Amino acid sequence: MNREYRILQSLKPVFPYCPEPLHYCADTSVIGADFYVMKRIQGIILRNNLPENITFTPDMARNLCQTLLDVQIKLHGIDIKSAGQAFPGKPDGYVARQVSGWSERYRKAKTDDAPDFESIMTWLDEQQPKDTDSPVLVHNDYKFDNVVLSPDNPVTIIGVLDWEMATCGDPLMDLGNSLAYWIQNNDPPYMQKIRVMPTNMPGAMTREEMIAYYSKKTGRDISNFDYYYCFGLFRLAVIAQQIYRRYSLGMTQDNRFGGLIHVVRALEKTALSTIEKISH
Amino acid sequence: MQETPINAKKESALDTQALTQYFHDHVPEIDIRGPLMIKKFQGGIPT
Repeated sequence: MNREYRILQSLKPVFPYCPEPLHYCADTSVIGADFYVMKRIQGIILRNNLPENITFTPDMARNLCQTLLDVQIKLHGIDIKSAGQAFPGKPDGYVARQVSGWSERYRKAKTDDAPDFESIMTWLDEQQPKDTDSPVLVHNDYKFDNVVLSPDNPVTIIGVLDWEMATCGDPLMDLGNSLAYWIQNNDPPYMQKIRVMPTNMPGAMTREEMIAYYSKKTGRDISNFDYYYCFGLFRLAVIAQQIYRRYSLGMTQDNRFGGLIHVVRALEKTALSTIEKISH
Repeated sequence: MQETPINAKKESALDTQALTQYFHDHVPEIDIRGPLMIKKFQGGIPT
């Protein structure tokens, strides 16, 4: 918590979308855990489908997708070496640590009914790109349901939440993580079933359009983006599998988590087909 | 530090007596009735 609090302290002056941190309390006796307090950003958070009181024209939907990327690009544009900023993370070896770390987590979380992901983990290990020359602050969970939209103008983003996984690293890894959630209308039915955000609304940009837009705005080379997308799919599968494992061991009673095995399987299938596409 | 928390949304409008007392005693300049979010530790951070 203190790590996230300090990130927000450093970030708020240069990135107004993050909540304003107010106080960190290390005393676990107060509410049973350490915690921090921040100013609430009041607005709209999109979940699986658009709220009933919101209608986006295709143009508005496209604008919102661009705005979502624009804010991420602003984050990636922050000078992490500038005076006064203290962002955690070790950009050197970032991709290698991400691949090995998430692979280790998957192997620990794997249940008998889960796919083994071994060929995907091997591919991610063998094909990993070299470290970026220009590391940035990455959010690592940047998606529709972690941004707050203006209640007055819902295509405007007024806040970005959940900074617990933020660190300094490769911006394309961040974008790959974001687009792993991006399920569009021409994706296969097994992916449509696991959609959790309105990324399929009429007018919404496709992943290909998002990647092209990001590259155009940042000048970053996206020729190897399938690697980052594949990593994002894998990382998401690990997160789902970790929760599913807890469910399967009876550590949580929420039956919704029982369905996460289908998420893991769908993500494996898509990661495999992505690798297959690259290989031919 | 091994697992991502199950509950990805940890902001909640906690307003327990202990919390109110804590702010009253230690951080009186923060009005806990105001539009605030509180985030508490619930798991690890896999970075």
